[in-house]
Amino acid sequence: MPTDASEPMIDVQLVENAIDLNGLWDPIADPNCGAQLVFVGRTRRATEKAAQVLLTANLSYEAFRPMAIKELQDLLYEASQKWPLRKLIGIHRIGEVQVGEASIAIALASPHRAACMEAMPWIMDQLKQRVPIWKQERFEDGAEEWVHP
Amino acid sequence: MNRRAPDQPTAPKQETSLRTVRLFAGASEAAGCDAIEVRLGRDVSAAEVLQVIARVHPELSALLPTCRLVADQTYMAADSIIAPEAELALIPPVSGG
Repeated sequence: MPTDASEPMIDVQLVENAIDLNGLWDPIADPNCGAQLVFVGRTRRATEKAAQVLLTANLSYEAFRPMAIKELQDLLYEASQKWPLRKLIGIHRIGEVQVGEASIAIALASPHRAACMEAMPWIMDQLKQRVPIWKQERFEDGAEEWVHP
Repeated sequence: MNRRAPDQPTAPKQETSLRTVRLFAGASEAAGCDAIEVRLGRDVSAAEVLQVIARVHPELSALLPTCRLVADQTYMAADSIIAPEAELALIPPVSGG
């Protein structure tokens, strides 16, 4: 069945390997969209906490897979209803993500820039509240901890 | 006025069933396993399920107040009644991104 042209394109993936960041631009190309925005989250090395600096060796992500995909699809669809977004891609990496590597990428396209730029922080805030994915910090001193904010 | 009411016949014991609850991240680490089994009555609410888990698995009690119960991949409000066949999961505070 052909998809209704007025429906946005939404693509959600959980991947075990490096996210293909360069491969995000073509799928969000749309002749009616004058704006594209890609957000990338990466593993950060140093985190200041209580006057000391913690050094991360890597992060390990775990997901409740089917629900994580459903929640991410739902929240991208909700974003497309709140803002006129035509293309929405959400990719989260699961498993170990080394320092400097991407753990998440959100790619958006809209006719004008305001929709992308307003939607992106909302999408990331929602993701951090409701998508069942957890990160385990592994520090350089060998300590490990699940992050439960 | 103050007469004691006649003893009521005891209600039939409520039907219970053994239900699996999947665990993730810190909850799975605290319990030392990926799933627990709890005995639940019919028509229990999400809040009651969390109470049962706290009673049977004290090792989870530190994390439980911040956990949400999920049935069939949907977050349950405290007063939601849990369907008898629903797949249950305990969701600690998430930290994706």
